[in-house]
Amino acid sequence: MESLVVLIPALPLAGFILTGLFGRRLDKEAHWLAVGVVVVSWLISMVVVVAALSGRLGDAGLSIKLWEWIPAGKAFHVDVGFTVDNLTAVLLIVVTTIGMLVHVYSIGYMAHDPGYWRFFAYLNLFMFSMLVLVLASSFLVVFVAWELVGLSSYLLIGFWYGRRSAALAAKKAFIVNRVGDVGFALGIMAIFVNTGTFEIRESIEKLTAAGAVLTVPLPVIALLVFAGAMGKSAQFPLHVWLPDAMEGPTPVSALIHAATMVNAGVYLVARTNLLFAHAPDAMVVVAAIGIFTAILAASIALTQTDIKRVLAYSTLSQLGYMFAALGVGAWAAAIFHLMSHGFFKGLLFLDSGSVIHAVDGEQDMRLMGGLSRKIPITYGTMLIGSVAISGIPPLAGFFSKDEILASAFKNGFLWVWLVGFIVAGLTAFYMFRLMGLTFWGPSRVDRQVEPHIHESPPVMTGPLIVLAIPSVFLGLLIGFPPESGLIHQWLEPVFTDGLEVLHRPEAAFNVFGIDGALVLSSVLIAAVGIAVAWRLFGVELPRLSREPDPERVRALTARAPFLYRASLNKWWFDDLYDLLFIRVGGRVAAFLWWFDRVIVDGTVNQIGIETQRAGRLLRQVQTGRVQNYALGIALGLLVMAGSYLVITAR
Amino acid sequence: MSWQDVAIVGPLVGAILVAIAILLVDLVVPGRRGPALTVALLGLGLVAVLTALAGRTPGQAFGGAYTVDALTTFLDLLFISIVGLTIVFAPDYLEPRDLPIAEFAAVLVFALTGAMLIAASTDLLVLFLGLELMVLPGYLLAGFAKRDSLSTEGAIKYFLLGSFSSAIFLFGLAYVWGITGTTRVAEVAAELARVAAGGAALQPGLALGLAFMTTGVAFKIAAVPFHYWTPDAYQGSPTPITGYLSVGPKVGAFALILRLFVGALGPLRADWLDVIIVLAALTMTLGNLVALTQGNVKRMLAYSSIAHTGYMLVGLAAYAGGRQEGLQGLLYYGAAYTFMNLGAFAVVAALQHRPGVTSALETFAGLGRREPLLGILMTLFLLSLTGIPPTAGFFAKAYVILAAVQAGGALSVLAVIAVLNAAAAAFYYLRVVVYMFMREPVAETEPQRHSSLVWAGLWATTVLTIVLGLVPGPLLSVVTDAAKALTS
Amino acid sequence: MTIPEVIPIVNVRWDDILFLILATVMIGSALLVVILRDIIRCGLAMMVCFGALAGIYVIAGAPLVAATQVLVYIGAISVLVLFAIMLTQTKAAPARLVFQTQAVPAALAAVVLAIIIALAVGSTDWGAAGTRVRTATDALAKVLFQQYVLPFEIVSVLLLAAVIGGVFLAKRDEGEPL
Repeated sequence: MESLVVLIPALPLAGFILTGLFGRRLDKEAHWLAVGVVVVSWLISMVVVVAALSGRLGDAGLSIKLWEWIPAGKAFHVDVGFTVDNLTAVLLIVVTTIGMLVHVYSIGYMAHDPGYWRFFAYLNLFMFSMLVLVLASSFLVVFVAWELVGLSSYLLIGFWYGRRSAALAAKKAFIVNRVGDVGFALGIMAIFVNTGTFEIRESIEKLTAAGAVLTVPLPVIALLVFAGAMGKSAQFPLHVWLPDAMEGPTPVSALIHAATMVNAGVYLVARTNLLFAHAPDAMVVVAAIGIFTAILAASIALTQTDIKRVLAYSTLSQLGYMFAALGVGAWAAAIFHLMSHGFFKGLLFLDSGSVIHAVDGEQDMRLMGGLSRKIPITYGTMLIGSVAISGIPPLAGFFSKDEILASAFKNGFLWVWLVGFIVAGLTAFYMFRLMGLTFWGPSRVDRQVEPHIHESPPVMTGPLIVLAIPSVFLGLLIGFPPESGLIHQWLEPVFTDGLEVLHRPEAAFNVFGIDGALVLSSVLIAAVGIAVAWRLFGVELPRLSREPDPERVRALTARAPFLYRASLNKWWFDDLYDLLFIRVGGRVAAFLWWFDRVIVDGTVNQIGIETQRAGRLLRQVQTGRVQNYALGIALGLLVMAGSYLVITAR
Repeated sequence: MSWQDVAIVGPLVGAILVAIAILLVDLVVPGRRGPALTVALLGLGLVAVLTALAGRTPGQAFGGAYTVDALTTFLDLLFISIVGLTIVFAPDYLEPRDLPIAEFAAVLVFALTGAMLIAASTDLLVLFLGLELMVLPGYLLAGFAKRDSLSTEGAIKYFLLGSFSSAIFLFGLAYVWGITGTTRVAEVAAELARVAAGGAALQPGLALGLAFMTTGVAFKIAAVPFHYWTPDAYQGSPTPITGYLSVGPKVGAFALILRLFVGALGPLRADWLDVIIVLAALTMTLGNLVALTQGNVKRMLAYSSIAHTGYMLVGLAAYAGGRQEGLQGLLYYGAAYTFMNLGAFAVVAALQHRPGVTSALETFAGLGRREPLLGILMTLFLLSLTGIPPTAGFFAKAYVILAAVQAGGALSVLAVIAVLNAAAAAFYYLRVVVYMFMREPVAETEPQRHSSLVWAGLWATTVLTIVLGLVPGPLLSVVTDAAKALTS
Repeated sequence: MTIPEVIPIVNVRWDDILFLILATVMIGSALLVVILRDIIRCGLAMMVCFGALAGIYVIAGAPLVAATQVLVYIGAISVLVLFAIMLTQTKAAPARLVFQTQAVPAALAAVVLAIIIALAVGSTDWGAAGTRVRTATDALAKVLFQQYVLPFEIVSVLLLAAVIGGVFLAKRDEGEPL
């Protein structure tokens, strides 16, 4: 079993190295190796997952020590090791399954790209990093993987570097993530200072042990860890990178920016749940930021016209849900939603890729419409995904989302529930707006492209169909009955200590009591959202059909111009950050440089340049620059002498 | 002086003989690179073996002025690899520009003897002479391209300011001698321990001496605000020499710090701690911020080397704050920095193989497509310089910072500053990566041929950069012993 | 007749007076080196400065160092410097030095630094270093060749390196015009 676990990340790593080295020669055959290793890796993970979830690895899971990174006896002792418990197992299902399907899909999607082999090499690198991230048993290794997923995400967003926007988006993603990383790094440092270890389980036990003396208070540590999570999972105010990341190829958006990497933050918080359980204030912060991100992103998604951007904001919003769930202590619900969202959002992204593929690279939904008959498989699967995310029973999204809302309500976070409730309606609305604009109504596709619209090849539609299955059945399978489904049994050992600290005895699910009412209300608001979208953007279902009503849309937006513009301009966060960091920050750096060059270097620079032109060497040296340097040193010496005299005099 | 003394100074004498041998060979077969290089590299290998042998029997010579211990051996081997790698990387750059290789190698080996002397010296006077012997060839090397006015200008500035700072440093030593009455490190330390324990008053003259010595040393390691010479000297020098200047004299000066501040002035560390903290914070921050605005890779690396000085000072400060790990981290950082920085400069030099090619960012545009292997290696070095795991740079940085965190107090603030700086550094390092892989070349240039010597050196630095990150255990044991030898 | 150790009226030792005079000459000539505009005069002032320093060595009880100072610095180095100036001066090069761009801040820094040093040195108890010793030449030789034999030898390597460097820089390349 141990060697099997090691193989899970080792195979993609081997794939990355081999594809990287020989990919150029393999050219259009490069996918065999890359896809092959991921398929084998998936098979192995399924074996491991079954073993873990059936309880054969024990409650604490299987721990494997790979090698001593920093040997014992030194100041810091770090082992590189993996732990497979049930939480890891659930993540393994999502990562390897969607990873494999995206690999297969990419064979078709990237077929004509000159960087074919490069793409698969990067994808393998990402798979390796992501798998290490979920398997690692030490914070330091998690951090290593954390940086590696960031790096591969950077490479993949900027994959089409010819586009300036792609290169910029890659940079933005990297920079924003770096902010969160600093928080995470500081958090790890704080944990280490308190406990002297990097092992996740050991350190958390020490941190939360009764009577532990902490130099850095627990809520601070929890918030620092959360800062890292905010960066990777794109939570407000670090959310700005994710929509831009859509510049990457669509399979990348599906894999990294919807189904796996952005979930890393959720995973991290769930992994350290005990820490948060002991810091209730930090949990409130998590819940607040989560639910705020949810409504902020949902409001922006209402008006976006780029099909991938709608989905990107939708991802943000759903991630917000997950953090809200983590904040209210509904950890199992958060992981459940992570899982179901991974599947249906992965599906939606791959569908959007298929649409884009069909209309020759167009992403603007205003230039689509009426595609439902021309690309039926894509249409059907995307409809399933949309229904699932909207929270209509009995599809996957209904169960997981409803559990989050119900837990928020019952755990006393009424405000979280209320906002989440509104978001549920918005979600249903913007998803069906997307469906209406893309698939229904009259075609607005470019005349030149129109005749060439075609369904994607089987290598692309195959993964769509496969992903549609869990989008439909996952909820029934592991989420039913609500709050005591399979997923709860699986995750119970992971969260039991944390729940004990929170003192939240699980009340029985009551269909005819409060739970029934909550379920009914959330289904209702979803239905309202869908209905409104239908009225405005049209529908063409077998027995149900309605023309879109652009006039009414215009009238509606004209009635609330401020809100409309706010949504369209993403509440101006990009502009604000541009002003704050690019303009002002750039000025500061430039000023320092100027200071160093001009003030420190001497005002005689100009003379220096002119004499240089004259080419008189000795004179150049005598123009004063050296003297200025020397004066600088002398002044430094003065300060130094003064400070030493002061220091030693005390 | 006895035969045992001779055995102990054997490696040093060997290095001097190698330098002379290179010159003699050049006299016999002038102007050919082969013989001189062979003699230089073989000789350095021999010196390395001698060093390792001498390191097995630690001892002192010349009445306690010259000491061979674990620290000496570690530093000597590090210096030998620095000089060896520089000699390996340089010919490809020097030859097309008609610069002689034999003189270059000989002068470099002289610098090596200076550095080795610093590493082994336990006498203030020897320490100073070693420092001079190490930096004097540096002045010459900075102006090695003597027909290039920029090179000469940088060299003259470096020389003038370097002499200025050496004088300041010597002045400081004189104060210490005046107050303690001895130049032997052990005796100075004993005397100062008496002062630190309250047995004697801390004289204002001693404080002044500390100020002078700190200033002198801060200049040599290019710590802010004594860094002014760096950009000029680095920019003007031929690229492989810039690489050497950013590593060799810097690590050498840190060796001086270890012998002087930790060895002799260790008892007063509570007094110099605060100054080092401020220096470290300033150095990291200014180095990084200014590097952010550079459009020239060589200049960017020059400023970033200032920032790395800051990280190393964090280790020193952590030691002064009471953590032995600080010293270990400093030594480890020195080794990691050596290989990644020399590697990065080697790539820049390889690109500038043809005279006339600048080190501007545009030169790197499209390198990933033109010469993928070179691009990948450069990326690795830059990632390591950034401190992205699991490279040597990450480990070194993490070790130093964690040591500071453990020391606590003002040092944890310093650690936070270091983390923030490390994050900021990513921007300018990765900008080069962006240019290499995500920009079309400005002008279509042919891939260039690089000699197998350069490739060998590049692979050596690459392997070390990765291995020091993945399997830090062995080197960590070595630096632990070295640090112990210094402080026990 | 013997001169009394202490000057009767002002009650100051003779050699203190001598030191003050020499020190004033040294500082004054050093200032001239920096301030004068004519480079030849700068060189001459430097020789005066070296001479005064040699005098101070004598007072400090190190006649051998003083002799070396006279022989090497005044006799060799200064003359060499003057010759170098003479030989390299062409009509194209500036005969007068013009770089007093920061006289005021530099003077300020120097004065403040001098005050700090004076205060610190004045308030320091120099212990054994403060007493006068007269080092006999043979004793110096013993120290130099026993206790400090390593530095002594190292200096020769340093000089060798410097010579090689100097030769390289001064060597005219083939085909380079005079």
